[in-house]
Amino acid sequence: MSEGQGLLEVKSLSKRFGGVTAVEDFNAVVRDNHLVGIIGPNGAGKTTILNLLSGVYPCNSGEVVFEGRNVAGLKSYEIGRLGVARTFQNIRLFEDMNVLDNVRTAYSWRARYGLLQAMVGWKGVNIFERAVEEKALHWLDKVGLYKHRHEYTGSLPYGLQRRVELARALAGEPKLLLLDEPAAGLNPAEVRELIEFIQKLFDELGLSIILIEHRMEVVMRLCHWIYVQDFGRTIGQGTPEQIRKDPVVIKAYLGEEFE
Amino acid sequence: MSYFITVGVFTAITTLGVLGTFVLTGLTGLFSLGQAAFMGLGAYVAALAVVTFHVPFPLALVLAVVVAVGVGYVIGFTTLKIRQDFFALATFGFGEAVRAVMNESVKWTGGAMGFAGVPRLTTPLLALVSLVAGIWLVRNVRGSKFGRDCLAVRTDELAAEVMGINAFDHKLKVFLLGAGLSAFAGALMAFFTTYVEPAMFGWMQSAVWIIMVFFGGRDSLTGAIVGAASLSALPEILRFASQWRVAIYTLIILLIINFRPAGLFGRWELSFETLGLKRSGPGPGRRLPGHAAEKGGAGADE
Amino acid sequence: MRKSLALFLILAMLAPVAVLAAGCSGGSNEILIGNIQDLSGPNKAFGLAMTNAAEMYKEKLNAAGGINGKKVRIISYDTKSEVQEAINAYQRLVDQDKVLAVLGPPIANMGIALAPIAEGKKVPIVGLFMDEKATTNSKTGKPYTYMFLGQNSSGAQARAIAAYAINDLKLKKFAILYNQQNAYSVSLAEPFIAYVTANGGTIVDKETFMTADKDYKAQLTKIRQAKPEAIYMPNYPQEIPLTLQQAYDLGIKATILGDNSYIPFATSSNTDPKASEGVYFPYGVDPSDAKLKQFSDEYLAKFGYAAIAQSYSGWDAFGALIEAIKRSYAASKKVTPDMVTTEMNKTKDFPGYQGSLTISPDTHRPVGLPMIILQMKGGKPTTLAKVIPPAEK
Repeated sequence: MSEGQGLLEVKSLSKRFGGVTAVEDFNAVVRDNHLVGIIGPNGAGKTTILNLLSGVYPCNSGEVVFEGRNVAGLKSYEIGRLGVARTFQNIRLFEDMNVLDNVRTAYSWRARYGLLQAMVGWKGVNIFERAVEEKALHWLDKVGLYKHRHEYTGSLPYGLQRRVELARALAGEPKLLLLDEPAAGLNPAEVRELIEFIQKLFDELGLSIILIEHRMEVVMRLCHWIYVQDFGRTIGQGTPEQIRKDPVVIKAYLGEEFE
Repeated sequence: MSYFITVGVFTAITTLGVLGTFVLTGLTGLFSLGQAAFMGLGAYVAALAVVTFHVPFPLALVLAVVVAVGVGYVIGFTTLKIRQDFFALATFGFGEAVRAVMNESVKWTGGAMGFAGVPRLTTPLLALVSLVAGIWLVRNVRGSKFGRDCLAVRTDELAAEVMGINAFDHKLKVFLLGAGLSAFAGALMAFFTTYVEPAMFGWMQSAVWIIMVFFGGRDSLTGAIVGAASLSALPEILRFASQWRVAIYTLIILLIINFRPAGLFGRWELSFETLGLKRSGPGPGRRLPGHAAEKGGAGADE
Repeated sequence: MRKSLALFLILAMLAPVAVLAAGCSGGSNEILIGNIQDLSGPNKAFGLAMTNAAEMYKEKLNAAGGINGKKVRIISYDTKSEVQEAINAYQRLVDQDKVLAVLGPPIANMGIALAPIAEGKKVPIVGLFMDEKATTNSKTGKPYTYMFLGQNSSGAQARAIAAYAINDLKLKKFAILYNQQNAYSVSLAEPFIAYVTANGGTIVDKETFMTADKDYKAQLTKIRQAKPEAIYMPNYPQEIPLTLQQAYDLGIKATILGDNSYIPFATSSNTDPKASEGVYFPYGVDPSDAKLKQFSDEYLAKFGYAAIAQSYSGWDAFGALIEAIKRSYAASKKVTPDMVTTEMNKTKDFPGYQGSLTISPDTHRPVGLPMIILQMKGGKPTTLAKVIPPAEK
């Protein structure tokens, strides 16, 4: 794990479920301020890769080096605290809480007060909570949800739920953001908006993003580097231009439907 | 002490004990069938401390909480990692084990005959102040990041963990808070009835407490308090019905839970704002620039 | 909307409190007596037995003109067998209903819990709580002022069977098998051991078991090895048929001594008559008494189910209480709870079903009230003797 390799380096990561190999020998590098895409058909193991990177599953072998430190084997809350945030393919919001509180959870682990202080209403609690509310509102404003801040997330339309989840992930000011099919379930107009929005975030915030999608236009328009997965293996990688021309990729995945 | 004050004190003590169930079930969604055992633990520890070891009463109250939290730590540490449904079973086992110890250590606890001769040191004022303090503590916790985080864990543990929230740690802390509250209530109980017996702290009692919480609404502190207070006073109110009162009591609960699955109060909380006595402000961070562009879709604002 | 509904429901639930708070005290033409019993919990059978007996007594009394022209009314409250409920019920009877005295339950734990409360509220409780801790303050050794026992205590019962075994059956070597978790068993076992050892007998083996146990063969085998002449088995309903059966199966020939729960649990069809053959046990009333038959027929006709021991002793306890109230009226034309308390201490030779009931002011328990010694023959109890329980030494 030498210096300068970038923010994240994944080395021969593998995951098996029973006898099925979901991810095999996955290698990737994500540099600072880099937008990386992972594409592949259903069952290619894309979401499994995200789950491994965020500590939802333990891997069977391999390394995940984040900022020079192997984080494979850490719990997901530990990885989250290192600055890795994510969204989920099928939105996972805290439906019993309103929009604002959902976003606020991103700051909890940073709080400098414990249960005892919370119990007796220590004044630091209030100071912290006020600061958190301000930050959370800032992010809600950024994704255009300020108006909905007091609504319960369970009652919001799908598109807005996606944005809440994104605001929640961004609010922790992560260094690496993992987006699991953010365009799923959106109509073409919404997809175009989403692409613009991600581009803007990326430009403004200077974070790195790993994006999983099977909608080609999203990945091709946004990503600097793309990994193509099929049956758990990487069958190709390169810039969007290279991927577009890679015969293996075209044969295995893109086929005729792509231009 | 008059009848109404006695019923009031019992109600206050029970409500304080139920707050233990409320924090656990309301915040983390876990069901403990051993919650009343913590009350029993508190009752016996405090009674033994004062009667047998001549410890001053205030210290005995503290001791009751300390012992319950200590025991709770061991139980919580070993059972909170297992699945939720197994947790209910594990706490059931714990509760009945505590009761067996009370029954068996005849020399210390008086066994099934109960522990008699506890001085009456719980005054109505002490019970009331304790309840108010308990409510205040729980309210503070719910209003802090703990309340939020626990709710997050309850709704989606995986997503909460990804947000950097240590779910196990939160569950354990809430479990201990609940144990402490119930144990304190137990200590007050012992010094009010002047007599405790193992039969008072069985799993049925824990189950009744869970019902009380759901009756009032597990997402509302107001609801839990009203639920606990009204249901613990209800058998007294129904005294006129003699042997039918258990049936009526059950019927009332069934009706409420059937027609209001979120409990009597749902998420509603009693406060100056909800009573319309104070206007709820938008909170800090009011005037944010350009939050008008709601319909423009993601990224269309600013 | 939801708010208003919630508030409405709460108000609806609290409304009866106001109603109840308003009234309830009896008219001046009535004498109110409270009755605290388990009417819906696990000891409902006992609670109903006492309540029914008291109601029967009251009806006869009122039909004959009541006390000084006043009718007696019984206010019964349910305890569900919970101590807290019993305390609430007692307080309510005293504060709201303003009763003169209270008929207490046949459950030791309730008596023990109520005793210190009654010291503060000063309204007497006459009950069947056999454990002596309900009537004697174990710290001072003095009786609780407002607690009275209407039947022989567990100590008296245990001493009666022990005295009969030593004096009449001429037995010396005893073993004992009991449930250590059961308050009733413990309250019998301890005085039995004390009496035997103080009167020239020896306890050669003491074996205990727990409530959940169903197999007592290990304990019984040890007892057999200790070669006792008699085994005292002061146990509870479910345990009686099992202990008897297993002792019989092991071929134990020692005399078996039981307690007052052996009716109906040793006499029922659940117990093999061969296993119960020859067992001696004490009982509060004499089943062969013709007076009893008349009562039980009347009881059966009225309530549709048979009278049990608590029906007879409940009648006696209630009767002694009524007599105390009558004496109070006769002496001073009025009656207060304290006067009833004083008169309860003077209870002498009340003709009850258990025998003639006299309450000792020193213990607030009966003195000279006989226990009937019964023996099982062919699955049926036969009356052998009347034993006056010896005093504790």
